[in-house]
Amino acid sequence: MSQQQAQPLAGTTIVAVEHVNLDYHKEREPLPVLVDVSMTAKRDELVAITGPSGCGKSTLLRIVAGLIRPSAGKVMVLGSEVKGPRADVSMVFQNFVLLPWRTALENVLFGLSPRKDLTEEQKREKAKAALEVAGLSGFEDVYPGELSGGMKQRVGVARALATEPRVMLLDEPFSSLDDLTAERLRKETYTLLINPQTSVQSVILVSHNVEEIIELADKVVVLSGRPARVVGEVEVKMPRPRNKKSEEFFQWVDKVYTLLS
Amino acid sequence: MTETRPLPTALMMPGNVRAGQVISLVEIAGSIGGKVDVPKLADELGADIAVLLPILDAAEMLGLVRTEKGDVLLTELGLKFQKTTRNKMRMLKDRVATIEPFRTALDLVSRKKVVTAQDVADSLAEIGLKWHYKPDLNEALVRTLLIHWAIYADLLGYDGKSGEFRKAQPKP
Amino acid sequence: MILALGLSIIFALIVGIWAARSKKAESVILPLLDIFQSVPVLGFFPFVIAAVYGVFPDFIGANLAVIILIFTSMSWNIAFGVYEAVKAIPQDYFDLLDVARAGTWQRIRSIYIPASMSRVAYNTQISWAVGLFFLVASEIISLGTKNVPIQYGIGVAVEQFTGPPFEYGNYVLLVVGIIGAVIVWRFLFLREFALWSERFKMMEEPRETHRDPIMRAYSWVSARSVSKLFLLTQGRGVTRFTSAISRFSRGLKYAVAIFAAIFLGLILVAAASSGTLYLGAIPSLQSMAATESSVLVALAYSFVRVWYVVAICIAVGLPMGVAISLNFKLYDTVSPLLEVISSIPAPILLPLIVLIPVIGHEPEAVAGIVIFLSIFWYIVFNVMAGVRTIPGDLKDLPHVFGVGRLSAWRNVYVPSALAALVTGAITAVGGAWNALIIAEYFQPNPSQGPITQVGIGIGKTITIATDSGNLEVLFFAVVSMTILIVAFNLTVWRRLYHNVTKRYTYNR
Repeated sequence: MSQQQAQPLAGTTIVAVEHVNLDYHKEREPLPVLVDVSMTAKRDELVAITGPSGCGKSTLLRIVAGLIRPSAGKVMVLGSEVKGPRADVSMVFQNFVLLPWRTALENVLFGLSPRKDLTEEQKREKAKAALEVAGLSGFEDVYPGELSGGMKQRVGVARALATEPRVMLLDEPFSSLDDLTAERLRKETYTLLINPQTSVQSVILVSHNVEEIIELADKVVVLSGRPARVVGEVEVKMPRPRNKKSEEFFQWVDKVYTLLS
Repeated sequence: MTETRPLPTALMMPGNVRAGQVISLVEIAGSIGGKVDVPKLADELGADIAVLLPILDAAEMLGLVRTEKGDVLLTELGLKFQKTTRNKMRMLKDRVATIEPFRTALDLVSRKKVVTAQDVADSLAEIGLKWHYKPDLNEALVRTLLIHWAIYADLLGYDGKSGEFRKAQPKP
Repeated sequence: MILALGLSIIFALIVGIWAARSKKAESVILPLLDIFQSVPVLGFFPFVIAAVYGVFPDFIGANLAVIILIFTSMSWNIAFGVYEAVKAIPQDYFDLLDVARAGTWQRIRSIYIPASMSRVAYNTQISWAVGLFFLVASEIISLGTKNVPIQYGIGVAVEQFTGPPFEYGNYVLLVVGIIGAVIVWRFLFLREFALWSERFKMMEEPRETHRDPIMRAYSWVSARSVSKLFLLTQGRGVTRFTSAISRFSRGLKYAVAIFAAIFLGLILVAAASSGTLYLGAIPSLQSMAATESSVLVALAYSFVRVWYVVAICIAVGLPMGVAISLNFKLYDTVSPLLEVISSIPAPILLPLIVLIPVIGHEPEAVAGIVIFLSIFWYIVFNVMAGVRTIPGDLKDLPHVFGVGRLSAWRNVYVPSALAALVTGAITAVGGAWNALIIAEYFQPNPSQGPITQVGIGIGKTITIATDSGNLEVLFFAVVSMTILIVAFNLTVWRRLYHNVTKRYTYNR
């Protein structure tokens, strides 16, 4: 699928959030949640969104996913406006959101189930391949209840990858894992998502963990507390692999913290 | 006939250690230069000493590290293990196969084709090896160990629907 | 009623604390509570009436019997709550008491009772709904028997207005009055009791916190919702029953013995007081066999009746509950309505159902409707609760992946409600057995014939036997019914519940 269309060149804008506002209506009083939020994610970029907890960064991600309609403004993905959930955008959730009554393979297949262009056999092959890529070969027939947190999130990643999305949304994907597991999964996820072989052209990560952001992101969008406005953007110009102990790393972390406070 | 021969001292995988933790430990020990003292390692891993020690035991059991006067050293195998990028655990296949409950599980599947965690737990309990004194929790721990190690190491396959383990299908 | 509630709470506190703090008591009390809980209370009521009325043959006796019945229907549940609450007190608190050298009474007053409070409040709400049903039912039954003079009570009022001549206006007033009273009582008293008791929580219970204010408002409303009264903690009933049996197999013997002794004692007192206790009254083997076989036939009919109604309830309640909870607007409009309807004890409506053209003259249909109205709420509210506890992300999942509606229902929504459905169904079936006794044979005034009666059924058998004082039939009917229900719990439900909760519980 990804080979049939012309590949956008590096630097092309993949996702554009344009002047997005969101109000909740509580007892007729509009309650602003997001105010005039604009940002972009370019080709091969991993963009991180951060901000104080409860500021609405996950809500912003859901607007990009088409799950929530903004009160004003719009989101463009690959040049077309997001009007609802779409096939070329996929998502990995904080709490994995696997179906406990389906095995790992069946969970990945669930994500592929709307694909009319594939036979059941092709879907199985794709799902197996996605699990293999996520480091879970051999675990196809295991139920989520028997997997560790890290493995569950690998199933979540495999499910999202199997649909061959152009845009991958990560909603605090490592925050319900223990440090050791999160550390490993972070490294693997980056190489899994940003590489010439995948369909993924842009990744948007929502996280409150600044070190995690500096480790992974090409660009950081910092939001303010409620209602959320963009208070700044930081381009993390640091070569990879990034050494978390280095002085340079700390300087980038500091930069983001300064914007946050 | 009385059994006077002492039981062979079996290697037992600690019930709460996962393959992923051992991988992290070896990677971090390697990144610090292959020799590190235990408190420093715990700090680097962001783990308690109490959490670290069983992981360290497992790594030692697998021949990946040696401990010497409070220092943790990577063995040759450990260094190789650290440098491998994919399917690290398959490298350790033969080592894992010598540790319980995997040894018994492999022995049982070679004879019975399919085997449940309960079968393995029962058979181990007969020779006095238990991970928990409550039978149902013991079974759960054995199953978790089998899933989290033996599948990664490509020793066993598992069907969650029937709860049965079998010999791993050969992988390309 | 309040008297019975008070008694229940006191009883529950004593038994619950005792069971939780003494291993020996625990091994006997738990299985005993379980047996009492799973047995159809209404079936035993005739014995209670006969026994109590025999001892106090006047106004006091009859009222006492009613109070005992309501007490019986309410206290097990609360006792379990107390037991679990005291069991859950962290060891540190006991250490603290030891260090402080606290005496027994001080322990009870300063730790055990406060710790139990929130569970007592919560379980009281559940018990209340159950108790109200029994209040109406028991007053009606006791009137049906021997013109036992209970002079005041909801059940009595139902009788007076519905016995011919049917006073339509008064009846409507009565129903409206009951609904009003029920709502006021629940909202003002029980709700406040429950909210007040929150202070006594030992520790923060994991609760779903919502990111946005809309969801928070919803959870505030739902925390005060009447539908909670129909919800049972998952696993209540069957699993606890079966797990208690397997855990305390030694105490079980004593529990069964105590239970049998209470039962036999009741019969003896009943028989003695009705003057039938003389040796010749012990029936011959042949007549016992005849009685038992007719009882078994009746039981079979009722079994089918219970199950087809439960099946209808599930067929209607599952899709309805899922659909309602998935749609916030619908949930907001429909759930208060459901709550009001559900607060009417089904037996009150029976006289109205009989008036429905065609169906009203079909006793089988009337019985079905009464059972349906008694148990439907357990199913629909449990399903609603089950669906509402699934995280928002899981609800979004089908949208994120563009999965069709049918597949979303089949793979996500219905499975996530399944564990709650089974919990609800277990309770519903228990309720259905109780409802049978009213539904199968309804005779508010002994001088006139029954308003409605089915052809054959165990509820009818029991009611008629009660009315005519036929202890032999009553004995076989109640014992057979109890054995069937307990056996069914131990085999079918236990396995089903285990399998469903093992796979269909959503915890990340």
